[in-house]
Amino acid sequence: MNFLQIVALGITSAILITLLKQTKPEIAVILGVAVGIIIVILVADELYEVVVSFYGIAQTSGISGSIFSLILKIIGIGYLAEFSAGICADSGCKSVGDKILFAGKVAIMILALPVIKDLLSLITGILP
Amino acid sequence: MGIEIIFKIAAIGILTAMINSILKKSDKDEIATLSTIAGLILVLFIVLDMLVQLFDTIKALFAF
Repeated sequence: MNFLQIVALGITSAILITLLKQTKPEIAVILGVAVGIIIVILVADELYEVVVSFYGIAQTSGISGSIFSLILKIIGIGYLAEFSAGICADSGCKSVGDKILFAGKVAIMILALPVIKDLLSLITGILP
Repeated sequence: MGIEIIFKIAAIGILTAMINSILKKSDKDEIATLSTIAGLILVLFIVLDMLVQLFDTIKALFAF
């Protein structure tokens, strides 16, 4: 699915969403969610190739698999939080979107804690 | 997967709006609200299936 098709898809669905906004605003919001899902699924296989090649690079460069999967998890959480926050902002309740973003930050911080601990212990080990 | 789902959802929305206004003209307001709810539930089912598919791809992609 090359890029031009996705652009055309997005523009036509934006027009359909504005069309639906006057008569049926709730279905317009759901249509927005559907368009977001379709575009992500269409791009998913290219993204998978990127992730696989990064995995290869991480293997050769000696980064341990656990840290790389941690990075992937954090990217996934960040993406999901941003996706749902955008949907909440579209449907008018921005505060709910901000709460989701806050929860995403907390989740990322929890995932990153062990790495931070290792880093600190490493530093204190080096210092005399 | 793609444009036809978007057109299907938009068609459902426009049809429910039309049915709604027709029913309102023939002053059957309670049936109009029922038709709106029915259209909404139909669209929700379509999008929920896609949401499950999205979460599966993201789980597979980011090794959740």
